[in-house]
Formats: sequence, C-alpha cells, structure tokens
Amino acid sequence: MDCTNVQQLLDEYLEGALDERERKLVEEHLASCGDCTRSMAFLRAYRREMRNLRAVRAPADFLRNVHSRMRERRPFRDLLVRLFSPSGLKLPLELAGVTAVALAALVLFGVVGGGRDRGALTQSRWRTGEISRAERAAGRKEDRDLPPEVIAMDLEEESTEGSLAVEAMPGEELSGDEIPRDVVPEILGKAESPRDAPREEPRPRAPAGGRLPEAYPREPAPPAGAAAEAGEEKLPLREDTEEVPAGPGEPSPAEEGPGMELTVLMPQEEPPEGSGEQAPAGEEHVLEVVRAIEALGGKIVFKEYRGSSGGPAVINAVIPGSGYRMLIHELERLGRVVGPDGAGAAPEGEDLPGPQEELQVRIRFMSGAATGTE
Amino acid sequence: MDKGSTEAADTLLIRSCLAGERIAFDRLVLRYKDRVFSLCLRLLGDYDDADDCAQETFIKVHRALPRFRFESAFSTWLYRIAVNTCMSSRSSRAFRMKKNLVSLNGMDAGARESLEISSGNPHPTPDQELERRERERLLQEAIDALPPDQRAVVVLRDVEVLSYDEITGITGLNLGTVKSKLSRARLKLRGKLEGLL
Repeated sequence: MDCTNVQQLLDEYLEGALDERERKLVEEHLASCGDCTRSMAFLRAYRREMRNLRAVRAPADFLRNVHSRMRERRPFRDLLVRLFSPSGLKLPLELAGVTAVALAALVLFGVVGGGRDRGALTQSRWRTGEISRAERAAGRKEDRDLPPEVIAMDLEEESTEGSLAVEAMPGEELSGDEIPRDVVPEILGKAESPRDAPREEPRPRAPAGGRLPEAYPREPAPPAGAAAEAGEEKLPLREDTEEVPAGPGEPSPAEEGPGMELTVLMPQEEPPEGSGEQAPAGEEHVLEVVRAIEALGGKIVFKEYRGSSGGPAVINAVIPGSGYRMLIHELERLGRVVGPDGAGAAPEGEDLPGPQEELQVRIRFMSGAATGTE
Repeated sequence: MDKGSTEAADTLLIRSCLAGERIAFDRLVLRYKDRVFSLCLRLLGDYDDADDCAQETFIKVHRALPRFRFESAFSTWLYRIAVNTCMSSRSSRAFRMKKNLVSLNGMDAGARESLEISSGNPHPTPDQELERRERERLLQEAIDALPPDQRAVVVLRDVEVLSYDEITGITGLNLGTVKSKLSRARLKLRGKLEGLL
C-alpha cells in the first residue's frame, strides 16, 4: 500500500471503520513512513479541534424571530386575501404581480396621461410573455435553495394548476388549498379588525384561529402528543413557556369571580338521518374557538365537548381585554352570540374591558332550537 | 436518542405539522435550531448572517414541508436547504460587501459570548479562554478561505461529523467527489493550520 492509498484511508482508520486487513496494512505503512505518520498526527489534532467547534447555540429568541419574520412577509398576501378571497376570485400569479407593479407605478409616479403609453407597453409585454418570464425568474430566486425534487414538484404543480388565489412570496406558489393550515391564521391574521370584517354569507371559513390580529402572540399548549408518546425527548415548547392550568375540575370563571358568560347560538344543522335528533355542535367548532383564544393570548381553563356529559359544549377561558372584540367576532362566525341576559354580547364604551385587563369568559355552544327553550 | 427514533419523532412532528398543528413546527425548530445555526455559522463565519440564514432556512422548510416526501431523513433535507441558503447568501452582493467591511474580528462581544462553544474545560481561566477563542478564530478563518464547495464538505464532515452518506444526500455529490473535495480541503487547511495544531 502506497502513501496515496494510505492518506485516503486515514480518516476511516481514525474512525475505526476499516476492516482488519486494511487496518493492518495502514499500520504497517505508518510504522515505516514519516510523512504519513505526520499526516495522521495532523489529522487527529485537526479532527479534535474541528469537533470542538460544534456546540454553538442559536440565539435565545430564535423561534420568536422566525415567527416574526414569517408574519412580516405576509402583508401583501393579507391584502390579496382580503381583496379576492371573499369573492372566490382566483388570479394567475403573473397577473397579480403585474397588477401590483402597475398600481405601484400609478401611486409613485402619478401616471395618468403618459401612463397610458406605459400601460400599453405593459400590456404588450404581458401578451408577449416577457413579464411572465421575468416574474417567474424573480419568483424562482429563493427556490434555488430548495432541494431540486421540491422545485421540480413546484414546476409540475404550476404547469397543471395555472391559477392561484393568493399572491405568493417569491419562489412560492400558494393557492388557498395549498397554504399549510397552520400558516393561514398568520396570512389572514392581521388582515381584519372585527369592525371591517365582511359579514355576508356564505363565506369561506378560515381555519381555527383565523382572522385574528396576532397570529403568534403565544404558542398554544402542547398536545398530549403522539410525538411524546413515541418517546421523544421533552423539549420546551416555547422559549418562555408558561404553565397553563387546564382540565376538568377547574373552577368556572363564574365561581372564581366576575366574568362574561356568552352563548353561541349555532345554526341548526340537519340531524343525522333517521335519528330524529338534532345534530350536536361539532367538536371542531369548540377546537376552533380554543385555538382562536390561544391565538389571542388567552388561556383555556376548562373545555368540554358536547356529549361528554350530555350537556352543551363549554369553554372557560381567561383572555386579555384587548382580545374580547376579536373573540366575539370569531364566535359570530359560528352563530349568533348573546350575553347572559339574552342581549347582544358586544359591549360598548365603558362596558368594554380595558386592553390590559384579564377577562374571564364562559362560552356555551347551543343549537338554535335548544336555546329557544332556555 | 438513536437515529431511528429521531427520524420517527421527526416524522410524527412533520405529520402533525401538516395536519395543522402549529406547535409541531415550533418543536421542529427547537429540535434543530442549534444544529442549523451552528452549521450556518461555520459556513458563513458571521454571527448575524448565520442567524439570518438559519431563520431563512426554517421559513423555507415551513413553506416546503407539504412537499417533503419522506424519501430522505428530515435532517438531511433540512441541512440541504440550510447549506443551499448559506451558499446563496455568500454569493449575494450584500454579503460580499459586508465581508469587505467587517471581518470576523468585528463580531461583537455580545454575539461572541453567546456562542457558548464547548471546550474540554468547563471553567477555563481567562488566558485559556483567550487562547481558545484565538484558535477558534484561526480555524474559522481557515475554513472561510476555502472555496464554497470544499468549505461545505469540510463543515459537514469535520465540524458536524456527519457520515459520508448524509453528506452525499445533503450536497447531491457522489461519494468519490465528496472524498476528493474533502481531501483537497484538508490539504489546504493543513497548510494554514499546521503551526496551530
């Protein structure tokens, strides 16, 4: 075995990855070759030094910064969602891009008269596909960093789907169905206040926690998750994790002190065929509200799904006063919301809790028919 | 935790994430943030750029996760995105301009202190600490001086101690090319570090 061969095997020799025969050959060579012995000594020291560089920790606020950055990137998408999502209108990515550029030009340069020529030019370029290619090139910039198989899938999807509901980030194709569910609250999150939210029916239902002002104010409590059951190491779920009390047996807000009792009158659904009974309020509705409360920065104190005790679904929670209106708005998506006296639940003026105030709420989910008897 | 159970746990988290459990993505970030940050720091040699690229990596992962096909380990896929993100960042004009203005020595004290690089001695004297940092700086400078492809292979193999299989999966290079690049890179490093080691 010559020096070249031995040098190539030194790494594996130090790892103990050589078989017996190769190891002996390397050792025999090392015993008689000063150059290779020095190489091995260097390699040993080098490996030790390099491995000492390993343990570097990310900044303490890393996760929070990832969340912030994800939120920062979505204002334009928010706008398009607000503009086009309610009407179900879908726009091709290129058209959305060109529209945005045209609007920006109009605003920046006050193009009115002379702008017509530019508009014609733009239209001409649009027809010839120049802009499409440029936009695509810009859009693909970030995707260069994704593994090729992912980019290839993108191209396949793009060629078959063609139109998109939402202006995607550069390098990203997203339609309403493609947006990961856990992103949607963020996409929709900062879009609407309860006052300007469109109320007309029918409208697409956002996933849980959607249409709230802060999509990531705090992370929800960990699921009693499958990952944990699989023996996964226990990790902090957030950098400043808070203990959130939960579970049956917790006192209701009404027992603890003053709070707000709200009843959601759910639209009566078609009963299961042949049952003759009224369809119960779905667990998904309760979960939606739970997630919305968590997204608002509230804490779930207690929740019960309809059927577990025969009564209506109930959520007891503590929310920041600033989130009250949002909560009402979220509940109104499910049905009519009434206060304890049967009146509307949205307080005005002095009745509004202060933004810093913690408000205890008890939410009951009733079917329209059931509440009629109460 | 062995490799198999790590991959199984990753798979569960990814599936939970795809099912809409936002917390599952956070758990993935928390599991891998240090490793990704460390990798980015070694590839870029700059704390802020590493932070930036590591965050960017997770944002890309979040976006591309619905298209992850479980054909490789999640960690391999994640590292691949991180390496590509760093390589793109290094080639950007802004990065080159910054490099011309700020050397590694310019890394601010706060950032340096938060690195918490492990050493054999958990309670070094000030002199030992100074020496360690100087060695670290020289090592990083030597890594920085390598061409990008060799630097990536060196960091993955010698700093992150990944297997050749993992490195071929991350870089998309075949085994022979990886070994060849590694060999050339080590030769260059030896020239720079021989007096140090």
